[in-house]
Amino acid sequence: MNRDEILAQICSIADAALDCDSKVSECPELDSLTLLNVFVFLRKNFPLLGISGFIACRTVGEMIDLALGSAQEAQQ
Amino acid sequence: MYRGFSRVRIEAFAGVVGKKRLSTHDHGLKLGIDGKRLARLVATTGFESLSEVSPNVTVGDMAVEGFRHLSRAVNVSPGQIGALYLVTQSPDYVIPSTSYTIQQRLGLGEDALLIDLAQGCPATVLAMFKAAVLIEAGICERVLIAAGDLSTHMPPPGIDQPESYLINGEGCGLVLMGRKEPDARSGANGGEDLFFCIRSHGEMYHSIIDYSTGARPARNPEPQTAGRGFCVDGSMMELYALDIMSKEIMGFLGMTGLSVADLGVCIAQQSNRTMLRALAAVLDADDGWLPFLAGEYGNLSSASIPVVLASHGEGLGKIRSRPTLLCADGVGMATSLCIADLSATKFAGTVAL
Repeated sequence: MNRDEILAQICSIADAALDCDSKVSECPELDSLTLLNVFVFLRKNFPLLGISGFIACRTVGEMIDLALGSAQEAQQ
Repeated sequence: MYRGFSRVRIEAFAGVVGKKRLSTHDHGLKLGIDGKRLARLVATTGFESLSEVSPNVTVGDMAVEGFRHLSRAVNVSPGQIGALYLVTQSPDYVIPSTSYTIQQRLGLGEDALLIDLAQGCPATVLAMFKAAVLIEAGICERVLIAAGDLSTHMPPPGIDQPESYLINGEGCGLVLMGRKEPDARSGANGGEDLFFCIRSHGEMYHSIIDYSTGARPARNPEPQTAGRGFCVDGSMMELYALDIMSKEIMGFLGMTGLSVADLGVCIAQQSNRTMLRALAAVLDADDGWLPFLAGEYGNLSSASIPVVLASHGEGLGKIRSRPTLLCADGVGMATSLCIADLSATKFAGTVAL
């Protein structure tokens, strides 16, 4: 799963037009329950993704980086 | 704290729910919440309606009616109850404890221990642990737990987030525990087949707190809490459940020598559907292993686990053939876990008040 595909899924879950620079604190669509749904989606595709790192993400791009980074760690 | 028991059985679960089901969607519209946002809220929480008892009903009333229902279902008399744990954060009175105000209505004798616990979601499983201690020690033959809470669905004027009033329901759950002879066939440790793991995290007590209650706000308020009311740190709650508690669950399973695959089902605090899906994902379990069953009730606080077991337990696939994990977390913060053999437990259903 590449960066664009992940972003498209996050937009679908949040039912909003988001980009990698979208800030969690400034997007009303990214409330805590929606973020949990995003986490569930990412976790199913990136099993090593941790909740503590995910909650610390300030932008959508950071979430995607974290997920892709966890996949790279798994390969190493 | 981790402990196993060999002489304790869970005899029955029963529940009391409201006669009224408040439509989350319709009520949300009345509170002025945007329709699109409301639809997403209902889809993510899973709470299509909220249980509401009649306006004149208290937790004490629910406990009395619930025990009547349970005693008919399992043929237990009040004289057989050696102790009552009454769990609530919405007591009938602060003084005296609610258990004393309903002792005569329940028919409990003067020899019965009456103990009230002022705690939320984790407290029913915590009370089950305390009941197991009394039974295993030979102090009581049978212990009754009644856990319930009331909840308002009308936010005060001017509140920023009325959505938080579309989460909680009203109800009471009852658990009857009793003494049994150890089963030499079951359990790896001397016939133990009932296990508890209780974890306390008071360092996180600010995560869910009502700054307007108790003596501290008037006598010596903590800095920067003046004028604040009920506060929930949602991110901290998620971090707690999905990071700290999930590790505690895996540690607990390790201590009992069991794995997720060995357990038939996990009945978790029904905080909301998305949280349970996330917890299942973290535990690498199927959503069906950790079911969301409270869509018509809302989050019933400490009543959540006994009510969903009373109403849905009979229909849960492997609950009769494999051990069940009960898993509650919240106010404290605290985690209360229990692995139990529910193969012969009565799921007595619910009554409505």
